[in-house]
Amino acid sequence: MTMSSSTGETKVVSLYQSQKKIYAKEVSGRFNRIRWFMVFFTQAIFYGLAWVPWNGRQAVLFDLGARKFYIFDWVFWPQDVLYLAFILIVSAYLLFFVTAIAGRIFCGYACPQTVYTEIFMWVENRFEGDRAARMRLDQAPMSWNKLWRKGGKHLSWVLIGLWTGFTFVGYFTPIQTLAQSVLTLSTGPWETFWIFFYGFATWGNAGFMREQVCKYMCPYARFQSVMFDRDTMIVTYDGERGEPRGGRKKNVDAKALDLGSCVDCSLCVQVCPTGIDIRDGLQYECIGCSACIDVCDTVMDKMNYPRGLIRYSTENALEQHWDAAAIRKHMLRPRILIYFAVLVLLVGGLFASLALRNPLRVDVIRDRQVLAREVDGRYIENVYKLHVMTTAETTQRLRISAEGMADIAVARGGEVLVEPASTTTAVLAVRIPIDTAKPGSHPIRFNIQSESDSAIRVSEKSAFLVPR
Amino acid sequence: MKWDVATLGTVFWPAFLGAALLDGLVFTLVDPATIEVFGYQNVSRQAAYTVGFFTFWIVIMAASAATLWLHRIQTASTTGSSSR
Ligand code: SF4
Ligand code: SF4
Repeated sequence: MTMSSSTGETKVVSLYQSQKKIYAKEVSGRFNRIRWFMVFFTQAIFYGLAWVPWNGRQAVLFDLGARKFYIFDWVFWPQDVLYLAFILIVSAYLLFFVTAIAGRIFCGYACPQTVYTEIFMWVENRFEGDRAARMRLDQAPMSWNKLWRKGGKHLSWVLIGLWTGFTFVGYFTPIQTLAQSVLTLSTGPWETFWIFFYGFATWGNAGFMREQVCKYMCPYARFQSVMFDRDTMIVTYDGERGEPRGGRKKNVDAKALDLGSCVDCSLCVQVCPTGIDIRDGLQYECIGCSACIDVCDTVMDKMNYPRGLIRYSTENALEQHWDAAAIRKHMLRPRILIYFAVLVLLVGGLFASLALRNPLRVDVIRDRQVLAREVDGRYIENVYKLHVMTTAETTQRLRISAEGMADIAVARGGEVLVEPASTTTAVLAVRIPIDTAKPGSHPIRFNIQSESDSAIRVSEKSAFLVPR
Repeated sequence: MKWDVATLGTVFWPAFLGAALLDGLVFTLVDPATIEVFGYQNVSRQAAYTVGFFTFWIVIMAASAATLWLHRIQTASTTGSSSR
């Protein structure tokens, strides 16, 4: 990929360069509107979902204190970690898939780093003004004007950060109770710590680190070149059309001056949140935010040139002058179709296994302390410990029966009551008439069946011990 | 040798992700409420998750920083430059 060789040099250099503060100019335009839509959309979900009730509890809650995860109708126990791992893998895979087609679309529109930076920059612009005003303000000596602008900005940032931290913690401990303890200033030490820690991280990342997170810290950013190919959608500058660049008056004939479409206004550099010049070609720093597309389109409009000097395109399309239809056709390349097939299989598998998941799980443990013994001179009795775990959201009365030996019967503990989505331990005594089986271990089977719901049942293997 | 924001960032962030993963893994397998730490029994789960997370983070960061440092002095000595 072209990212490597041409920028290999700058990569090494910039790592040691002292960081220059980037003053990104605010843009408007169609892609910017899409981004703001995504900001509202993702944040409505993030800030809102924590408050959604479901089955009389929080719909999405990773209750760390109770070691139980709820995602709508699903309840997960620590034992279900594989499901969660699988969900994470599918999400990562989905990201790869989208990246192969549309490049860093996630970075530019949905990554929390982008979203919070966008929000924080909006606040900054309201308090400190546009790019030039911000630069002047930073140069200026301290004054009342500077103090209230900077102070107001930071106060707003801190408030947004704290609200974000509070919401974040609200996904790990029930948010209703958390809200109450925040209002009465009685949050626990760990909750308090995490609210401030996450709030601080938001404030630091969105207020100060910004593009540096993308440039130096994010592994995904660097990993992408693996998923890119020459048909991946990227933000491109049409050098053939733009060069030679140069300033000119409006309405002069660019051809006569032997100039390309780029008026060298440098606006694309000013709006770039990572401070690069897209006209130098594809660079790893580019997060695909398309701010440069929006701003260049306004320049083209002003000059009465066709839009799209900077545009979404692919390396192949740019070289071979494909139109949009041809790009779309090449989007469905074999690599993408294979990725897609795998994705469908993964997602299908996940939902199938979740749907088929047994809401009841029972572990039978032979009680080692109580050996097999004779009872009343008529029976041999074995005692078992039952670990019952259910993800059903109603109380279940379970009946337990044993089979596998002649006249085997449950003597005590044949009925167990489990609360919704909880675990319980029960003691179970099983007997057989004396002298009906040889000494040694005999395989048996327990059938555990819910009284109210015939679909809720499991069968567990165990062993019955007959002493000599 | 220079340890600027960008360099520290490369140490912070992947270690953060690693620590989060490890924290999740370890405390999925072990319920902190059932263990004894230096003889203390009632370990709060939140406390264990938090302390565990930061311990993992610090250890991974230290290892990453050491790798980075070793790698740098190595490349510095092989290229003959006198950076430190
Ligand atoms: S915004 Fe467009 S016209 Fe202006 S310098 Fe960038 S590419 Fe050239
Ligand atoms: S080059 Fe353009 S798309 Fe890439 S980060 Fe800069 S402004 Fe965004």
